[in-house]
Amino acid sequence: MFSRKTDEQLIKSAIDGSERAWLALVKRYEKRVYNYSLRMSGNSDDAMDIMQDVMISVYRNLGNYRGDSVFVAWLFRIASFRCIDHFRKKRFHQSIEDLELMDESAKYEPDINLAKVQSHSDMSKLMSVLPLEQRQVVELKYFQHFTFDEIGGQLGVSSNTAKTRLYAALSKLKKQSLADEPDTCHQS
Amino acid sequence: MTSDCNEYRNLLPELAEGQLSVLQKQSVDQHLNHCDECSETLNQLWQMQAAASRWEDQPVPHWNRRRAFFAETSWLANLQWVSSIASVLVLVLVITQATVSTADGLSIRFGETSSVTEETLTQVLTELELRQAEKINQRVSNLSSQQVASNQLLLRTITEMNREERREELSTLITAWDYAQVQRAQQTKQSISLLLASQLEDKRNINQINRLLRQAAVEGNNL
Repeated sequence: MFSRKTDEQLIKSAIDGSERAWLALVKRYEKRVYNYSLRMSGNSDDAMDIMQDVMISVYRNLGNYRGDSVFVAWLFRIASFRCIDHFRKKRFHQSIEDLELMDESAKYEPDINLAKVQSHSDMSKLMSVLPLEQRQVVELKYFQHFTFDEIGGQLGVSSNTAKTRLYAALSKLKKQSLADEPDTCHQS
Repeated sequence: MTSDCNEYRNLLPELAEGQLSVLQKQSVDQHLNHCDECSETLNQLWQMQAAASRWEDQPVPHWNRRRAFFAETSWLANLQWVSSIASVLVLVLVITQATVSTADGLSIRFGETSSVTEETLTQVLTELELRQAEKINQRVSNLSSQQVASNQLLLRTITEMNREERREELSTLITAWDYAQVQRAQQTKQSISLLLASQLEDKRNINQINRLLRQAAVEGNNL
């Protein structure tokens, strides 16, 4: 019954009190948000926490959705904030620009560079090298397929800043791949 | 990196996605032909696209969506309150050794040893059974009377309806008979008129024939 309804129709029904409509909307987007969270966090437990936080936030703020942007863009705007909150709770004493994943060993994983990514776990490890704000741009550009203008709108920055962060991410990944070269020393 | 590089670098993501116009693409390609740094950046953008395309979406682990969003239904919450209140009430009744009696003589005592014997209990139960049987019989009798009354009413109504229908049919028959009588009278009158008219004609014919015969007789005599 709800599989053919548009997002806006489901949202309207959910706001009017239909639990089934809301759950249909959750099922429509949970996989996409879960995989977003998985790439951002690097592990399934954190990914589930982030995904559920995102969905609960969306549910609580459904009445604020005015339809002036596409629902997916609004959804991922909330997801970006929830993601930042999640990492803030984990490392609350660091600034947002310095937030990185916990798993330090991933930085020195041999043979994990951009040219050699073959699977989703390789991609997760690669993303874990990047600071959060660079990771967000890579995620929104290459996995959610937003334009730079849309990315800038969601992150609260200009499109040029979003591009700059992307290039910074590529530069970091390039340095990472050079660091993984056999003739480079690693520190434990 | 030259100032030109900054300008062309901003176009590299669009170039990688094939979103530049023909003229823009030509301009960027010319720059790439002599800029290794930008070429390397473009290469990385392509590699990023390829790496992202290899991602396989992972299934969402099982979770209870309904519990995450919706509180327990109010009737269930109220039920828990009701059971808690009921438990407290029973406790109070037991502690205070209260007695609860009904109009039928049933009495329940809380919190003290019962002095009721099996014989007494059997007697009370028997009395209750008898009273119950009486009430049921009375109820059945009332229902039967009601049924009889409503059957009689139904019968009267049907009879009256039948009478009404017969009256209407009779009235229709009488009207038809009157109409037929009128028609017959008119036809008879017409027939009589025709008969009289033909008699007059006959009489005229007879008179004419007589005149002709007389004329013929006179002419015969003259000859």
